[in-house]
Amino acid sequence: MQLSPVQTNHLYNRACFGLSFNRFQEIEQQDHQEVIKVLFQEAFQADPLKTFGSAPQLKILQQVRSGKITREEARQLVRQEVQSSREKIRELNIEWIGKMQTATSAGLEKLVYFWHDHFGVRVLNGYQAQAHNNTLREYALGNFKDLLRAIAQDGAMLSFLDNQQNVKAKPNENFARELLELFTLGRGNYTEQDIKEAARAFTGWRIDRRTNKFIFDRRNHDEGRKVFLGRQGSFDGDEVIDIICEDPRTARFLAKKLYAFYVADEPNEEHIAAMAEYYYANDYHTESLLQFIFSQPWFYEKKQIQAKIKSPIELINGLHTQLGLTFGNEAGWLLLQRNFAQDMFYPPSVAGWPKGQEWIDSSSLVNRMKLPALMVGLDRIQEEESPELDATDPFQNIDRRAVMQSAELGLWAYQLSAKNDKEQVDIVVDYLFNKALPPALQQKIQAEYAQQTPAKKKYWLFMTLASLPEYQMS
Amino acid sequence: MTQKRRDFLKQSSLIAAGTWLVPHFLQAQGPTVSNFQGKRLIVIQLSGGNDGLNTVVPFENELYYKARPALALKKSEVLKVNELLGFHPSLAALRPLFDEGALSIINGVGYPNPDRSHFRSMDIWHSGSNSNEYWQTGWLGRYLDAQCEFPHQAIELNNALDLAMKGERMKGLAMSNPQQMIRDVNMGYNRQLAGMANDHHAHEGVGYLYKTLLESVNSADYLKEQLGMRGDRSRNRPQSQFANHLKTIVQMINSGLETSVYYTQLGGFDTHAQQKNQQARLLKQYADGVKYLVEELKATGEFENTLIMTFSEFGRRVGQNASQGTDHGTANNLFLIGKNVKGGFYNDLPDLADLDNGDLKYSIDFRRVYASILENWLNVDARAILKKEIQPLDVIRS
Repeated sequence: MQLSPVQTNHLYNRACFGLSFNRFQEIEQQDHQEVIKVLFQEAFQADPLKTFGSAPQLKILQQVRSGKITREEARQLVRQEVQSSREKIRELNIEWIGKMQTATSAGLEKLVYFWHDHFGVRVLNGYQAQAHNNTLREYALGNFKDLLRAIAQDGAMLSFLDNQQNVKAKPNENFARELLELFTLGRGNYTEQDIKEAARAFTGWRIDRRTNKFIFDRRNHDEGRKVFLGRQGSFDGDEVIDIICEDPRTARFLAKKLYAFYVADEPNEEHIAAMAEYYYANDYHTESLLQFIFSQPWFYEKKQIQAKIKSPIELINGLHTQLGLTFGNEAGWLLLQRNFAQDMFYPPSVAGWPKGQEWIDSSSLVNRMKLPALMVGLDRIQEEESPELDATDPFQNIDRRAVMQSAELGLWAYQLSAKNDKEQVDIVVDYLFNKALPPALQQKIQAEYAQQTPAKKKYWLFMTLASLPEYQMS
Repeated sequence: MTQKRRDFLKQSSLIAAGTWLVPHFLQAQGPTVSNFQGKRLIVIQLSGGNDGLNTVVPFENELYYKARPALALKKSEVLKVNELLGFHPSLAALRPLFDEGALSIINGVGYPNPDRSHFRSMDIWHSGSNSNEYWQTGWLGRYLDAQCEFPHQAIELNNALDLAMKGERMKGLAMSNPQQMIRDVNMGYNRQLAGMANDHHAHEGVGYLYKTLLESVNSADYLKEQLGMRGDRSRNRPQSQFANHLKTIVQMINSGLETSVYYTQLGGFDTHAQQKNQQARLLKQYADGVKYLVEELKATGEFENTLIMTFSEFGRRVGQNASQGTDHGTANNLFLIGKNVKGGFYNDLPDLADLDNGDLKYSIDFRRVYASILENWLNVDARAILKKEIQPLDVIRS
């Protein structure tokens, strides 16, 4: 299958956060296998987050053990540690956004973002949040079963879903319930009794809070017989995960979510079934599944191109990739996430963020459409903000004015090599909309573009196009 | 060489609409007359988890003082409203409403298997789901679905629309002030683009965006046309952002907007540390704001058509913590204000001797309050909106 430049651009929009303009102008028609090979070579390089060093309380613990500090001093240090860990979650967020915006890792980071939404964990301990994110990255492309196993032993997950309190004497079902409902089988494919039995299998799975390391607490583990999804045995958590992954409905549930993430807001049963079958047959190998998706003719059909509503994080990162947006004050990225209601490391619930049309209402749409004007300083971000809605919210109260004044657009580095006005508009429209702008609208823009003075032409064009409803689509 | 943003600023005409599009006549879709029945609901959300036990205080209860040696309000401090219960002193402005029977206090409001996460518990209150269900629509959004035709029939004073206001078919309108909203929709080419809402679009998703944009423009136009000069008697208005939002609501009501639901919030109630001053300050903002709101509505005769509900996503733990504050708890009190409410205390405070792991046990499911508001105030079938049969609380005279 030969891919046109527009189709390759579509692939980069979906697999990453877009392609730079200069790179787009160099693309030629090419076989899809070659394009996909390059994509995986250049955009899937793993590099863990490093904002936090060692486990926050480990050092303190060592100092106590070696007699360097007293227990009271240690308690004081722990309190400070927790406080600064909250503040540093902002840095962690910015570090991750940077990786999403780096060409060599954008594809992998988009997948990590998918898993972050899938396992909607939110913790205030920054070290835990970082370790969780790094686990997602480590296993993102591999076998889903390995990812799930690692997540089931992950500090952030075990604390967030109360598995610390899941003990034989008094099982806590929180983790087991979300495992079945949100992470694997999906609603309707298990019973309340299955949840209870699975919860028993995960009793005694907890972490050492000081080191964030997994501990299997045998004394609090229920070794007894369980009946889970029709099978009987003295299952532990690993075996429950095995049984869940042996069930093809898990592959289907994940295929459906990945289809909604990479392909289309509206499900297509036939395509999802093909993906599920492939995923299951290939041992839940996620990289193979992505290559499968990107090799399907239906992925490149016209009806898929520019047909998905961008999530805020896709919109924000696209502004960097496509319009060269940068901030001198990097808290700008936090401000944009807050402004569009999607803070990384801060999902609204374990079910993750809204999807597709759920993002759009009459206020959020107008808010999105005025963003380009905001970036060039023609409008101000709304000053009003409710102070301290939540004492546990690390992303509130950002200095809006200072941040927006530090915004810069990198459009001047863009070479518009096309000869005349009409061609210049065409090439930018092809780039931003993959040829999917109504011809009448495109003509009107061409007419107006011709009226602009040379000094501001490029700005006018990109800003106007980025303010169209169509720019909210990918 | 890079040209800076500020250079561009000087020469830009991005704001001014160009000549490239002849504005279409903007048409509203569907019926042009709303079925507004004249009754309004104002929801005030106290975000962060207001400490209900220091809001309505059991000043004769030893257990209260035992659990809160540093935080408990002294008997001499509280505003006694009966032998056993008193208000936080910051609620002085609500006292006259209580005395005239226009304030109903429902104690121990909550739900089974309470969730102590702000977001989850707020979602549960917004959607009306059980604590193990994740619903994507809110109770007022589903009211819109069932009853309304325009987004402006439910308005939230906020930068973003809360889940409570999102339905399946309809979504309410969010804005922090109408002038800003009117300005925003008139920016750039928005108005001209909205005129293309009924054109053919490449994809269903794009069509949805254009339709939403048209709704924003129509809502802004409706506001611009309706919002008269009839503001408030501003010298009575307390100074706070919360009060500014109430002012906007007063202005909208007094201008005759056909809006059934107004939604606003006051944040900062998450008092894990140094609770005393923080809560006192916020409750005063709340009570002074409500006093202002009620007085303005009474002055124009609109109070009798208005019901005000105040809630918080959860109460706080009975025992104080080590930082002069309280942690996330469960059941809480809920206030209803209006001429038609059954004033006074609907029920007793939860038993402080019968706690669930240090938390109050709920006695009234919050959805019974919703059912009552829907059935007895807004005159709609609560069953369809709450998705199950729920016994309305007998707290509103219909």
